[in-house]
Amino acid sequence: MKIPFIETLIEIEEYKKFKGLIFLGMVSAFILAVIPVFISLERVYFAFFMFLIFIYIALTVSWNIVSGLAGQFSLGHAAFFGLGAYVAAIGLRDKFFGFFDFRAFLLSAVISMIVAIMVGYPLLGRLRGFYFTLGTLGISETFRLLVINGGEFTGGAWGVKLQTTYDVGFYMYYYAAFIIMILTILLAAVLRGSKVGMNFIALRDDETAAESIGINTLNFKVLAFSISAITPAICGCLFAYYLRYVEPNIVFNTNWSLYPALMALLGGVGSLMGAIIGSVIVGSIVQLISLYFPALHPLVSGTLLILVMVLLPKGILSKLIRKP
Amino acid sequence: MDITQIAQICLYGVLRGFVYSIMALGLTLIFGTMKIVNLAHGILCILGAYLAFSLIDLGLDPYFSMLLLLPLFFIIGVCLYFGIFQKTRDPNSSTVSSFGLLIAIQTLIMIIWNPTPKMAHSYFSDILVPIGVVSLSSSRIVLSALCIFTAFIVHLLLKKTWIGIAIRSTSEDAETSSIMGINVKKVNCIAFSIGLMLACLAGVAYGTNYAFDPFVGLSLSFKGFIVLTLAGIGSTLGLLVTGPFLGVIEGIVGFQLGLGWTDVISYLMIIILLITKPTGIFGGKKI
Repeated sequence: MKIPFIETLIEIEEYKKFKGLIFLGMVSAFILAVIPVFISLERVYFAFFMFLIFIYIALTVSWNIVSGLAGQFSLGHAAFFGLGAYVAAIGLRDKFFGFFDFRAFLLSAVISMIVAIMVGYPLLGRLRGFYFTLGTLGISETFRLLVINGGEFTGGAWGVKLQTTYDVGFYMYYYAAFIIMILTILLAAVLRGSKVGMNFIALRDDETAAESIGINTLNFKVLAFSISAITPAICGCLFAYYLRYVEPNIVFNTNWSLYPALMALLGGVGSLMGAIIGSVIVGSIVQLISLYFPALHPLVSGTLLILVMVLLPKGILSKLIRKP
Repeated sequence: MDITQIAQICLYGVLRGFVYSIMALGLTLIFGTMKIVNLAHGILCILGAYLAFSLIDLGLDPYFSMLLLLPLFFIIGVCLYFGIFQKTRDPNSSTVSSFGLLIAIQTLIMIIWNPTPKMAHSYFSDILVPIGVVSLSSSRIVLSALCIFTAFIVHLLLKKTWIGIAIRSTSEDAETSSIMGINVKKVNCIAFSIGLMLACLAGVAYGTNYAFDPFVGLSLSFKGFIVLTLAGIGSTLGLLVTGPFLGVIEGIVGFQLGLGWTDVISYLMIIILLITKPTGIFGGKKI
């Protein structure tokens, strides 16, 4: 079966034409890493802005693993994001671990991976193409409703408060998000070059052919799904520590699945560079609009999604690269 | 749970289910011809309900304002088709744009009206009709009669008229039917617009009997899709059975476990259905 989104992949050879872009990315990453040394991050909007942009980039790059590389268009990131947030919140409430604990990040990643495998086998085994997308959307909504109806354990629709007297400065959040982003990008880059990544690309381009040369397509699809579920859980954990309050309608919001898809589509599905560029552009637009016109921002993101699908189905990066 | 309660739950579930049937009918037309799962279908229903709600202020009963709203929705359908769905490259990107449409309309509704739940009060809502041990609001009887009537009309439209045959042949094989001289774009446009008219009808019927707010959009689309999957593609009258079936299940689950669980059950049902029986009960075609 042909998955039309993905024809537009920008191949590795074409990356070489854009060494300049990669260099630019490295320089800006370095600048972002040393900025906190020179300016104070406390009570600066810029710091929060970059914090969210880092989270968006991490989410988009991880979404790109399952949907760009392996070709399974997922809208289930919100489920894993919320899962990570609730692991952090419930863990803190029941005194399994403290505030901003490394073990919480680790545990949320593991739980999310296990859930992704459990959900992934039935969904990916039976559903093709669009029905998988519908299934993942259903899963994330089911998670939200299960948590709302969870009673004492999940705190119901009221959510869970992360009560602590311990305060980490904003530097901590900034660098945590930055490190998560860098690690996710490295993971995606390594995966892309490795044999596993090649298998993902093979099964995306032609599933029957991939199966005939001995790739177990189902296992590799589930592997891609579970790898891409790690980052949203860790981001959710971090976001819960930032908000100090976890509510089902916030952390299981469809936006957490929608934005990564939108950003990757804008940048160009399947390419790492495209995911990063798309997240920076869409993330900035969404945040600036929600800052100045708070009521309008879902309207703008919805319209943006339609416009991208109609006008730029191949993403911005393809426009940049295909120039004569 | 005594016998009166069971009768009441079942009857109310059946009547509620007819609304789902009409929604699923619109979805079938759109899905059959263009292979788009229109995720914005539910919110378009709700938009119809809100418009009917506003027209009450002008002194129009919701069931009469439907006469104004149906042509309006036909025009909206034509605009949406030529503006968005004709221009997207493939069914997947159309579906993603319909998700964008869902969010955009939802926000528009929240800006124009506010997000508090509303109900469009009809003249019929106040008249109670006793049937055996249960008593019913006559508005629900009007609703179900309207839904069944519409389903039969659409069934006849699909089976007997020229445009119905064109729609069916397009959903069978678009390429071959374009060779046979069918203007596929026109047929798609008409099917989409009729689908939206059915959405409007379902929305007004929903709005006069149940409270609605902008957030039920996605779950309504899902319910329509469950009913559609249960019946199978291409089975118009089968929808009239599976819709009430879902309604009764919802009623029982809501009564026994609490209303919060009804949506969980419907989401789980669609996932299990897609995995186990994608052909549906009445239709033979795999979706």
